[in-house]
Order: sequence, then C-alpha cells, then structure tokens
Amino acid sequence: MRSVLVLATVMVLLAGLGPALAPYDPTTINIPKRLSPPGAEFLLGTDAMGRDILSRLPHGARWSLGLAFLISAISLGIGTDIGLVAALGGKTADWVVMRATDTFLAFPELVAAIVIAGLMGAGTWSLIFALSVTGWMRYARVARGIGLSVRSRGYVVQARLVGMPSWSIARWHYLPSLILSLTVVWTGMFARAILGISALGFLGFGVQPPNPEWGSMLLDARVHLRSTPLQMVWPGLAVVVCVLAINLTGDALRDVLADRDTPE
Amino acid sequence: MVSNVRVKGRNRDRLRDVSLALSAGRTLAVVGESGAGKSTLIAAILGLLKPSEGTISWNGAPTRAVRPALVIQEPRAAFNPVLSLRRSIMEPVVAQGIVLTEGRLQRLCAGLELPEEVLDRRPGEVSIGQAQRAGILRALIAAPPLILFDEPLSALDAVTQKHTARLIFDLQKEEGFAALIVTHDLGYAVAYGDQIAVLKAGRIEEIADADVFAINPRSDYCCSLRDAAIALGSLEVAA
Amino acid sequence: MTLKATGLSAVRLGRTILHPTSLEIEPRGRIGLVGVSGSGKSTLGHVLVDDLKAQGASVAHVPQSPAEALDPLRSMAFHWREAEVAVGLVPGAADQAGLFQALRIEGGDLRKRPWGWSRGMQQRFVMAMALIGSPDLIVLDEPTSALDPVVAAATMELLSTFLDDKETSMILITHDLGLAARWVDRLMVMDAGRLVEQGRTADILERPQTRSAKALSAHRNWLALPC
Repeated sequence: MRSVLVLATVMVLLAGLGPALAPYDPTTINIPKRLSPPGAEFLLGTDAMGRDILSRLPHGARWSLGLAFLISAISLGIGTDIGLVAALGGKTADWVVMRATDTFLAFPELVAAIVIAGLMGAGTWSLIFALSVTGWMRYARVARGIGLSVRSRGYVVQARLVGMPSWSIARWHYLPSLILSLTVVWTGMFARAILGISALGFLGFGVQPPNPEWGSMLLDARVHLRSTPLQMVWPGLAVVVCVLAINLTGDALRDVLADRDTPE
Repeated sequence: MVSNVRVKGRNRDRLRDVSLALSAGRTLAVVGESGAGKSTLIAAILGLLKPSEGTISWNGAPTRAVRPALVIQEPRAAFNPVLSLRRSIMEPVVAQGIVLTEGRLQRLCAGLELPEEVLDRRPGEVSIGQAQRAGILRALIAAPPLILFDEPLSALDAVTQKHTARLIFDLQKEEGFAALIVTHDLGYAVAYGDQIAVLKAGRIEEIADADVFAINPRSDYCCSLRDAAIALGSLEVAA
Repeated sequence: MTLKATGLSAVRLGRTILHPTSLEIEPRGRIGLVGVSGSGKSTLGHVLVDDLKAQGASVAHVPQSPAEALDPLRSMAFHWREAEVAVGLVPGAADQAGLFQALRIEGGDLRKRPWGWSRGMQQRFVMAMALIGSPDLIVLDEPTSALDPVVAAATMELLSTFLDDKETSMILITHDLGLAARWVDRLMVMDAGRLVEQGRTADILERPQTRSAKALSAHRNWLALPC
C-alpha cells in the first residue's frame, strides 16, 4: 500500500516538476547530436532530431497524464449522469439507456476511438472527443447499479416522502455511496486513457509533433528500432510504469473500501 | 380514509376491496402475516403506489399532500449511514420549510428518552432501540397529521418493545396524530390499537374495536391468530 | 443422563462477553435461557454446545433462521443425508417418516431445494434434522422469530409434543420471557454476560429477584386477556 502511494507520488511529481528540472528544452532540434546513445551529455540519449529524451519524457508525462485526467473526468461525468438517468428515470429510460450502453460496449473501445479520431482528423481535440465518447460505459453501469440499490434504501424513501428536492437527495444520499466505487472505476479508466492516448499517438492520430507525447515518441523511435532500440524503451517504460502505478493505486483503494464496507 | 382500494399484482390482487378509516389521535392496527399485503397497503397510503381501483384520501385531499410520515422496521436503515442522526431528523423540517417552535426538538427528545447528544452520532454508533426512537422523532418532527408505523418494534427485544410502544402512545396523546400501525404481533395490536383490522391475502378478514376483538374474534382465522399470540406469550390469559 | 458444564466463559476482542458459568441439565429438562440483546445468552448457547460435544454428549443446535442451516444450492434430501452421516448413521437409517410425521412435514418434496419449501416447513425440517440421532439436548436459538405467529406457534407445539416422550432435553434461547414461559419449566436469566438468576418458571414469573428478571417478567406480554 505504502510503496504504491510512493510510486504514484513520484509519477505526479515527475510530471509536475520534471520539466523544470529537465536539462534541455524538449523541442529544440539538434541535428548533429541525433541518435546519441545514453551518456554523460544526454543521460538517456537523443532522438532522431537530436532532442534530449530525458527532457522530453516528463513533458510527455504532462501531455499523457493531463489528457488522461481530462478524458477520464469527462467520461466520468457523462457516465455517472447516464447511469443515474437509467436508475432513477423509470423502466423505459432504463431500458433505452442500458441498451445504448450495451451497444457502445459491443465495439472494442480502441477500434471505435481510432475510427472516430480518423474521421475527425488528427489532433488533440479529436483525441479527447474520441476517447471520452468511448470511455463512459463502465461508469454508467456502476452508477446505475448503485443508484438502483440506493433508491430502495430506507433513508432515500424517507427523503422522498418528506419532499426533499431531487438534487438534494442526489447530493446527500446518492453521492456518498457513488463516489467511492466510482473512484475505483476511475483509476482503471485513467490507466486505460493513458494507454489509449499512447496508442492513438503511436498511430499518428493524437498529439501532433513537435509536442512530446509518449505515444508519438514511440512512433518516432520505431523507424530507428534496429540502430538505437533504447529510444523506444524509454517512453514504453514510462507508459508501463505509469499504468501499473495507477492500477495498483486502484487495487489498494478497492481493498480499503472493501474493508470499510464490511459490517463489523 | 381508504375506500374500496384494489391493487393488482402480477398473478393475483395484492389488495382487494380494502376500506379503512383513520382519525386524528386514534390508532388503527393492521395485523397480518407476511404476504398479506401490509407493505402494499402502506405504499398505497403513502402515495408511492397507485391503486388500480378505489380512492385514498385525507380530508378530501390526496394523502401525499399532507406528507404522512413513515417509521420503518429496520431502524438503522432509515438513516443515511454517513450523516449524523440530527441531519436526517431535520430533513423534513428543511425540506418543507417549517420553522420549529422553540424547544420542540428538546421536548420530543425528552418524550422519547433520547439524550440530545445522541443525535450528533451516526446511525451505526447508537443502539437499535435509540435508532428506532430517533426514527420516530424524525417522523414526528414536522407534526404530520398521519404517521404510518411499519412493524416498528420487530427489530427490538421484548422489553424494549413494550417501552417503545408506551412512548409512542404517550406522544400520540400529546401530538394528536392519527397512527396506522402494521404489525404481525396481535398482542401489540390489541394493547395499543383502538381498532384492529386483520389483513389476509390482500383482503380485510375482520375489522373491529380492539377490546371486542381481543375477547371475541369472529372468524376462525382471527381465532387462530389469537391462539398463536397466546402460545407465543404475546398475550396471556388471566387466571 | 444429566448434562453438566462447568466454567464456561468467552472473551471477544479482549472483552469478557461471558463470565465463568456452570449449569446442569436434567434429562427431559426444558430450560429457557432469557435476557435482553447483548446479555450473552446466544454466546452461552454456543459455548455450551461446544463443551458438551467435547464431553461426548450428543447435542443439536437449531439457529434462528433456517437460512443459516440450509444451503440454498442443495436439495433437502442432500441435507438429510448429511445430517444422518453427521450422527454416524448409514444414509436412510433414520426414522425419517416418524420425524416428518411428528413435525407435519411429510408432504414436503425432498428433491426440492430449501426455497421450494415454506419458511415454517424449512424450520421444522431443520428441527427434524437436529433430532435425527435422538440427541441428549436440543438447543433452539430464537426459533420462532423468523416465522409468522400462527406457524411459529404450531412449530413449538409440534416440537413440544414430540419431545414429551423422549429423553431429549431442550434449551430455548430467547429475549422474550413470555415466549419462554409458555414452553419451559426452568428459566435462566442472563444479564451482561452473567447468569444472574435461575429457578422454576412460575417462581421467576411471580417473584423475580434481580433487576433484569424483574424487567423481563414485567414486560413478558402485552396484555392479559380477561377470560
């Protein structure tokens, strides 16, 4: 549990402070030094444009983590609302909404995101749109499930009887039950968003050069796989460690919640 | 006032031709076994469920309009586990924009033998008996003309049951609400009901004044209910 | 044989929930173990069952709800076989017909799973299972609280009649002195993990000595009917 927290904190700090500590500007091109191996001057080497990889990685973290945060937050908002509409809006609304959710779930998320991003053209905004639109279904399912179970609880019935306004019931009686479980889902979706961003970046649909984003860094490095394979290792490693840290955080959180929910 | 109410179910009627009258300061005890339609009756009176036939009203208006209160069987479930009891108890007051008269909360707390500091705890931190009295406080606070009690004592032990029943009775005298108590315990119904209605398979089997009913129930079913109450020690036959 | 247990106690989370208690149960004894919730009566029941079993006596325990005793995924026939094996009988050797008839569950379909039976019949089935090996003692923990009154009364009546000509003693654990008083001839009153009073039922009803016995006795019923 503690090691997970440390790992997560280090990742966030790297993304936050890393750029300030970076030895070089991440976008400055330095052709004479292109494809340098790791050494004293460039700790992790340089890429095909001679840009310092060590400087690019934390900037990439900003893009990757920041965008993943934004995307998972947008889909959290969409999903929760949709799930609650299904849970509280009556049988017809429930049927319509859940069938729509199933339809969305039927497509592999990444493939759908690629299609959408492809149709909209490459760029950061189409990346955000594509990944948000394909990422809300899990939240909706969880929110609906919890919403249905909370709806029949004694205190919600009481609140409805005394004429408490719906928004107030949602705020005080639904939210506390939802927030914990949704946070767990969110950690999972956050990790998926990082993978999604990297994947789209690698395919060229995501953040456009010269901005350093892990996926597009991988794409750039791919051409030089034979000569300087380490170039691909660094951003790949960053993605793996990041996703792992977030998933472990989610697991730890779930354990804490499970303990909390177990009656004495 | 409940007249000729019918609630259709999937295979059979959940309530059929049920008529009841309630009046201020009086208690109607509805006795029935599980599946007799007690919960359906409560949901219908509260307006949570629309009867297929018949009408339910309070002084000519829909019951929903007078905001009847409900006390449920499981005391802790009536309260949001993460909020203090006080917050939940004040919900009706806040929601209906009522201004409490000076000292009303204190008076009701005293009447229910609830120390005020208990209200600042969460439902998991108080005893079941206290939680149920807090539930009754919540039902009373906005002074509704009608309060429905759904098996209010079933979760309590035998001694606490009798004590709580007495507190409800005393408060009813002070506050003057009409009470509808749903219970499977004929002893409780006979001891505290002014009138007793026996519900069986969605129909009213018998309805009578409590003292008449206890001594001389008319139908065979009601006799077996009474004999069971005696066999289980809920009622005793004086020597 | 008279069952004896001495120095029964229990500690949970560093707190003593049952102070050292000794008790004796005569053959055919009908004992009511009463007390408010948290008085330690169920704990005493469990500890007593374990202790007597360790001594080699045959003791059966019937929990409050049949759901605790029956696996919803297994047929009633399976449960019955398990119970037979548990008391060392060859499957089919127990007097199933006799027990079922005595408890009026002979109409139940053994191929069904528990939920195919009504709750009252499930509870009586659990009692029949408990009685398979003609145990020295049957412990009933709030056996009626999950049942409707008419069914609960009938269940107690049938069990009581069945035990009349048997050697089996009975302990009825309940918070309701009124219920216990109807079915037992000795009462044991528990309070805060201690056995505070015991004696003949009529004596405790009429002349309770301790505070808890007085409270239980005063609130044992709702009303005495004048007839």
